[in-house]
Amino acid sequence: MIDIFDPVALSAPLTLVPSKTFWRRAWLDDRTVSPVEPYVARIMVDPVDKPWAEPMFARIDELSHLAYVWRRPFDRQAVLSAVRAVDRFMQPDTPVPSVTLTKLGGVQFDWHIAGIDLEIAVDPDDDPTVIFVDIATGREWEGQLPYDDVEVKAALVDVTERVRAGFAQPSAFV
Amino acid sequence: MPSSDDDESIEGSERLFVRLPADTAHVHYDTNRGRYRVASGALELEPDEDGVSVFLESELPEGADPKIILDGHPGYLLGWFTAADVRSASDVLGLRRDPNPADAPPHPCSNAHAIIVGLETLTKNPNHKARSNIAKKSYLHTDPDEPLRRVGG
Repeated sequence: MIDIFDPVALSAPLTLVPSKTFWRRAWLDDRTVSPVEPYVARIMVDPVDKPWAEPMFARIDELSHLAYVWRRPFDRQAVLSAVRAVDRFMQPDTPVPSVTLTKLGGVQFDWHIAGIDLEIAVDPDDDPTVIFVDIATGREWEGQLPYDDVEVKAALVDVTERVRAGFAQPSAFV
Repeated sequence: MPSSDDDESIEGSERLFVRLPADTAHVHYDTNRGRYRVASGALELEPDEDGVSVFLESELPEGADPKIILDGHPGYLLGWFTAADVRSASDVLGLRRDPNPADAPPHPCSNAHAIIVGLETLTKNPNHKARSNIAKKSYLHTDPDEPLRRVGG
């Protein structure tokens, strides 16, 4: 098994297993931007410390299969970069992001909740780009990881604390 | 100020439909806005594209449901936003009519084809921001068969 968050493990040779496995999956072997067989490496995710991980990886799993079936690009290295980026800043009760594919084969993690719009997108061979808008205050910024680590961490803290506090959604946001 | 390449004959209220391939891969639920919508990554330009492909509602076959745009494209979803949404997303964005594109097979809606121009002039972050601005105004005309998880999105 591979711990997706362990850089030592990630540098080790990976054993590919068929996709229909009990374990959560990731795509950590040779990078590619062309459609691939949905063969995957096993990973461990701690459901206590990272309760968001299970649904997040389930969606990534779904996206990899959609990319395979539809012959769309799916860059595993970009996915891994995105996962690493958000894992550094998410707290145990941070809401699960929505995860979508980009047209170029990357992946995008979005939070559009509690009056905050936060998008972290990773395309192949590129640093993650970040868009943040606080709808209530009008504050907004654009950034890139890893250069804007502090701002991204603060944004995810904002999201988490507002949801924790039961943020009431003004209808004007619709 | 919209792009100099902008076709001003396309009115701001014009609905622009966009094909979304791969089932739910490019859509998500936006809790702030209370609806499913297009994700900004779906509006990226691929290397061989001059602009993001859209279909002008006013140029669709008379009386046809916009779903006709998906004829021959099973499993796609259909999203939409307006021409004004595009122009307000960034100063450099505009719309250009592109009927019957040579690189696409004949389709009942080919005459309605247009492209969003200007994205190619934007660097990474402004490009992402412009696409995000459009996507936040978007709607789905065809809902996913199975609701996406209503998670952080």
